[in-house]
Amino acid sequence: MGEVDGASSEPLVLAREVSKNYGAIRALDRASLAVGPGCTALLGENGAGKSTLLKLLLGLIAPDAGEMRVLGRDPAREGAAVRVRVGYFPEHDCLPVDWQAQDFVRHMGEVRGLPAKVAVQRASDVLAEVGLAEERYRPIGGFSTGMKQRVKLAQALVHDPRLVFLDEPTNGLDPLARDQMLELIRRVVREMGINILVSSHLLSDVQQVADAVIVLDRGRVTAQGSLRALLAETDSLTLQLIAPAPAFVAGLRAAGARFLDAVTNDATELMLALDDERLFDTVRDLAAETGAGIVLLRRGARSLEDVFLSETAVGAAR
Amino acid sequence: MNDGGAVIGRGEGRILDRGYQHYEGRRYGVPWAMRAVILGTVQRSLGFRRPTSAKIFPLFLLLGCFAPALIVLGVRLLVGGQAFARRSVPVDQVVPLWRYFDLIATLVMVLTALAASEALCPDRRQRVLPLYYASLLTPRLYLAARVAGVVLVLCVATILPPLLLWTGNVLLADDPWSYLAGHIGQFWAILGAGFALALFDAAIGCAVAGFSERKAYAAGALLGGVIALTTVAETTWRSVHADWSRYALLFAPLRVPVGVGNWLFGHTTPAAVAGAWYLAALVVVTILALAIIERAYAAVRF
Repeated sequence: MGEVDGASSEPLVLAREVSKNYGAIRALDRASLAVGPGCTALLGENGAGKSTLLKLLLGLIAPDAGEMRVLGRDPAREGAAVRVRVGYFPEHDCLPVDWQAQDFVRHMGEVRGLPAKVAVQRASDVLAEVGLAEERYRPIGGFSTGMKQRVKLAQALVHDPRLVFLDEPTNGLDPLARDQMLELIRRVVREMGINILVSSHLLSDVQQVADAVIVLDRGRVTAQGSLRALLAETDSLTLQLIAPAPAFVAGLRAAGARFLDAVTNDATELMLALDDERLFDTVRDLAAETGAGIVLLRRGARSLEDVFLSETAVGAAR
Repeated sequence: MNDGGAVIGRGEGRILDRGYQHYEGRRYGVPWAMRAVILGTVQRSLGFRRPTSAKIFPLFLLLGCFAPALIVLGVRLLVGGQAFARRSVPVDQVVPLWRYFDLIATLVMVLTALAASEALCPDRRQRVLPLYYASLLTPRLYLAARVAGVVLVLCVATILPPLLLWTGNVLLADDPWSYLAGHIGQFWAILGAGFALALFDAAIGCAVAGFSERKAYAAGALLGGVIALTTVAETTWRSVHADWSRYALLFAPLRVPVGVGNWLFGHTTPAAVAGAWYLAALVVVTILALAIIERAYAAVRF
C-alpha cells in the first residue's frame, strides 16, 4: 500500500479492533480509531492505554489482535518504513546532557536517514524554527525545561516527518513556557504542514491546539471526532429530581435518551445529551406519566472537561 | 508557511527568513542509521565535541598503546640501528610484533572500560533509547552499532600501533622490498590479532556496561572482574603443579586474546596451551557476552 499524505482521504492513522495485553492486563481493548490531517489529541487518564497505542503505532510492539495503518503502512510489519516518516516526542527527559543541541538534532536526523550535509542544515533550520537559533551550540544540560522540550520537538521534526507523535509536550512547563509550546504546536501544524497526534491529560491544552479528539478509557475508545463537533453535539440537559424516580429514568432510556453520566436507580441528578429539541417534550410527558418531580431543568454547553469526565464515567460504569 | 521578509534597497536583496522548508530529497536506510550511531560512539568514546576533560584520558591511553612503536622507531630514526647494537636480537625484534599485544593488553582493557561505558551507559541513564528505537533502528541494530563503535575505537589501539611499528620496520630496513616480501605475513597477523583483541574486549566490556546506567560502576566492575579473574587464573597456573593448571589461563581475560595473537604470529602461546584452545575460548566468551547483552537490551522497556 502506498504512503498516505495529509491531502489523501484515507486517515493518517487507522486502527480497527486493536487489542494489546500485558499478561493479565488488557492495555488496549478492541480500540478503533482514525486520525485525520491537522492536530488530533489523544485524551485519557494514566493507564488509559495512550502510551501503548503510541508504541503500537510506532511499530515497537505488535498488537495481539486487530489491524493498524500508519501513513498507509502496517507498523507491525513495516516498522522502519513507518518510523522514517514519523517523529516521536517522548513524555520523559530523553536528551543527552553533554551534547550540543545542534549536534544531537543533527545526529538524530542521520539516524532517521538524512544525508550528513542535509542533517546539519535541517538541524540548524528546525532549531531556529523552535526558537533555539542562538543557543544551538550550547550543551543541552544547561538548558531550562522549556528549552529542552523545544530540543525534543526539534529532533522529532528534523527529518521532516508527515506525522509527529507528541507525548505530554507541556509536562513540567511553567505557564509562559506552556503557552509558547502550544503556540509552537499550532505553528507546526498550520505553517509547517506537519500533522500531529498529541497525547495529553490537560484538557485546556487540547482545547487550544487540537482539531480532533480521541478519548481513551481503560483501553477503550469512548469518544472520537472533531473537537467542534464533539463539543457541539454534547449540548446537555441537566435534570434535578425531588426524589429518585426509577420509572422516569427507565422511560427516558426507553425513549432513546443518551445519559452523559453513569445513572443508578436512586439518582436525583441526571445529565442528558441534548441531541434533539424534542427531548424537552419527552421529559415533560414522562414526568407527567410517572409523577416524577423535577426541581431543575437546565440547558448547558459542555466543556471538553465535561465530555472527558462523562465519557470516562460512562466507561467505568460499563 | 512564512515566505519571509526581504530587505531591498538600490537593487540589492537579502533573504532574512526562508520559512520552513520541506525535504523531498534522498533518505538513506538502516545501514546509514547504523553508521551514524557507530560514528557517534567513536566520537563520544574519544571525547570529540566534548569538554577537554573528556578527551584527556582516552588520548592518554591511546598514546600509551602507541608508545612502544613510537619509542623504538624514534630511536632508530634519530640514532640509527646501532642504538640497539649491544642487544643480541635483530633491530626489528627489540619489540617483537607478537609481543606487542601482550604489552598493550592492560591499557586496551582500561580503554575498553572507558569506551564501552561511554557508549552504553549514558543512553540508558538519560533515557535516550526511545528516540533511537523510534528511528530506523531496532534495539538489536542499535546495540550492534554501539558494539561496532567500541570495536572500532579499540582497533585504533590494537591495530594501528603494531602496524606503525611494522611499517617502520619495513621502511627502515636495509632493503625495504625484500623485508616486505619476507614479512608480509606479519601484516595479516597484526590485523587478525588486533581485531581479535578488540572484539573480545569490546564484547565483555559492553556486556558489563549493559547492566549499569552509571559509567563509573560499569568501568569499575569490568576492570575489577578482569583483574580478579586473571589473578585467580594466573595464580592457579603458577601454584598448582599439574598439567591441567595451565588451562586455567583460558579463563584469564587478559591472556585469551594475547594467546590468539601469539598463535597467529606462529609464536609460543602463554603456558604452551594450544592456540586453538585460546581461539575457542575467545569465540565462546565473545558469543556469550554478546548474547547476554542482547538479552539485557531486549528486556528494556520504555
